[in-house]
Amino acid sequence: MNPPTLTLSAVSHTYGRTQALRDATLSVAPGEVVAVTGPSGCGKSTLLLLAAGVLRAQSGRVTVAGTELSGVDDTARALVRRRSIGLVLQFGQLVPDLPVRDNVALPLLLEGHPAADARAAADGWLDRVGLAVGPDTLPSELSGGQAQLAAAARALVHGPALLLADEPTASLDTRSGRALLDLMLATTVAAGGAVLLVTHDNTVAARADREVRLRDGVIEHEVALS
Amino acid sequence: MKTSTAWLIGRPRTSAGRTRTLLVAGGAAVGGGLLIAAAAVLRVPAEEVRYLDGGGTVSSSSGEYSSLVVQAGLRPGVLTGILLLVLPALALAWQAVTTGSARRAAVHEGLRLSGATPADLRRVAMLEPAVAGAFGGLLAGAVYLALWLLLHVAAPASARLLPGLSPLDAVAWLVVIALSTLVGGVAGALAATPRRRRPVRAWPRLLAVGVGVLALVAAVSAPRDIDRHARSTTLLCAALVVLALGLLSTGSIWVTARARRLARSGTAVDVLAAGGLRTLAGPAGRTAGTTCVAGLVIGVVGSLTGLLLEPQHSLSESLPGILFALLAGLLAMLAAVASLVLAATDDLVTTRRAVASTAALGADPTVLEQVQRRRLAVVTTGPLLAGVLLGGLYAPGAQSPIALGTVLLTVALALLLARALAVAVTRVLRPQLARAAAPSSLRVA
Repeated sequence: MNPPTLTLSAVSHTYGRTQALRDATLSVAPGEVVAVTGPSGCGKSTLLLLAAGVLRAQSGRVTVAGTELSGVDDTARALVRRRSIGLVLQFGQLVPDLPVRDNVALPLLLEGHPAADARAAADGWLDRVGLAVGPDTLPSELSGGQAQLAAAARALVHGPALLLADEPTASLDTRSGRALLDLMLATTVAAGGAVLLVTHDNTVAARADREVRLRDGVIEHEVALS
Repeated sequence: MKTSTAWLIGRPRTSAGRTRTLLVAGGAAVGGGLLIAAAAVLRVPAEEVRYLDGGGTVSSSSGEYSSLVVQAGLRPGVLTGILLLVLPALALAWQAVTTGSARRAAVHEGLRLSGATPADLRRVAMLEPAVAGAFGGLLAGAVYLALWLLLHVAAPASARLLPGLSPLDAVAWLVVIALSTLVGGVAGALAATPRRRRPVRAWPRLLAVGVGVLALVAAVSAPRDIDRHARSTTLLCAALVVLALGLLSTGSIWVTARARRLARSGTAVDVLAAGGLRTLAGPAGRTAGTTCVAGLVIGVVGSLTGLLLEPQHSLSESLPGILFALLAGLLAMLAAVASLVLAATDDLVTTRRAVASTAALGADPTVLEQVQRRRLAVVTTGPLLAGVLLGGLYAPGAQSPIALGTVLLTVALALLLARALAVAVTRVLRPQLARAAAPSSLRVA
């Protein structure tokens, strides 16, 4: 059996006096889709940011694709994020000064790919997510849903081993949301990658193999869905 | 990360970005040109004064240059004048580098999420200011050439402040290009380094201002016989520089205090203005600091002009000094205006969601404009006036009504200028305010 792509072992995190996550233990195997659900403020997004290495776990261990993130510096965590993780956050979090196409090409550009190749790959992914933009279109010209599509293209462009998505379809209509989810799951799982979805939406959660429910920063229960 | 990728990501694309780059280059060009001029002044042969046994003195001066640059007691004053002009130019460049912090934070967040390492972020942040600094360094040569034409070629022999061109000027120029590139890069990296929010400690900054004021008063009150003249002038220069640096750093204290007071006043305009000022106390404080230093330069210029207009000086003797003082005043005013426009534009970009929300809640454009004007008034009127008054300390020895009148006139003009600036900048930025208040700004994260 392959080792898990993502492992969280007894991970805790606090913001000031607020305990956002307590002793969370979770693993996601290659090819598996896990949905994290729970009420607002229960620690779902914190769990996702810890898995992405954006936040450093204050206690416990986070391992992504064989690298233990809690024990390495910012540079090493950034490199893991660049090479092994695709991240889709709720508002897209695109770089406002860069054209949308370059935003999507960013993980490849950072990795040192020639700009022409990176942009060609970005064009391909923009086409696949169904976002038609000009070469100089800026993120400020996109709607919330379009920004989310662009963020999804950016997360998939480098074929990540782990796709992390926080409410990836929240700004999209039902049909576009379903199409995007199909694309994200099919592409990642087909390549042997793992997916961790954070969502409020039961229809999105139902697409996962397993649901992990959080309440007040604690994993309440896990349910196999398929 | 390859340099080409860093440039692809970091190069200025928006008009605001390009303006920022031009201001960095402009600040570096003016600052660099003046530094080359300061180095050139040091090449002017100093006058040696010999005391005769029977009383009186003999000077070695050839009469080729103004006494301002050949007399040992006056030269430090000219050098300080130049340095004081360099300060607002560099403060403006620093303000331009650090401006747009909210946008920069969004850029860095996007890059970080895509896997950019801290070194990548530093490189992206360094590149644009370094290129702007290099460009400014190149332009510094042109600025120096213009100064040389004005203060050497066009000036009569007895009024020259700069010597003829020499290969040493080219060396100084190359040093300025290298320094401005390096300083630009380092400033960009510093501006992009995330810092922990710490409460501003007021006392060291206020102490620097206090020390500067005391040193200025001590230097001005010192007896001015020929032996001590150079020493007191050097003390005066050092006092002015300490004071200027102190004032640059106290801007945010002033802004925070004013914001607290406005918040207590209770009117909608004041409360909204206070909210914006509190949120952007750092950038607004930098503007207030730059304006205050510009005021200091204008104050010193006013005092100097008053002293030079006193009846004991002939016009031909005072003319280069007056011209130099007026040029300094003009440059200081330009720095203040540029700093203000830059800050106000950045303020609107950074707070556009708040502006749009306020408009959506029912604030009409007149109220939004009043808020904008109130904020600008906080960073102009008080700081400019304080700077001018502190600069006015430079000439308490002014005996004649002409000198005193000039100082008072400078204060009155500065007050008018501050008011006019706040109104003019608000008018100029009306389209940007309308854009910020548009419903589309509500979508901005």
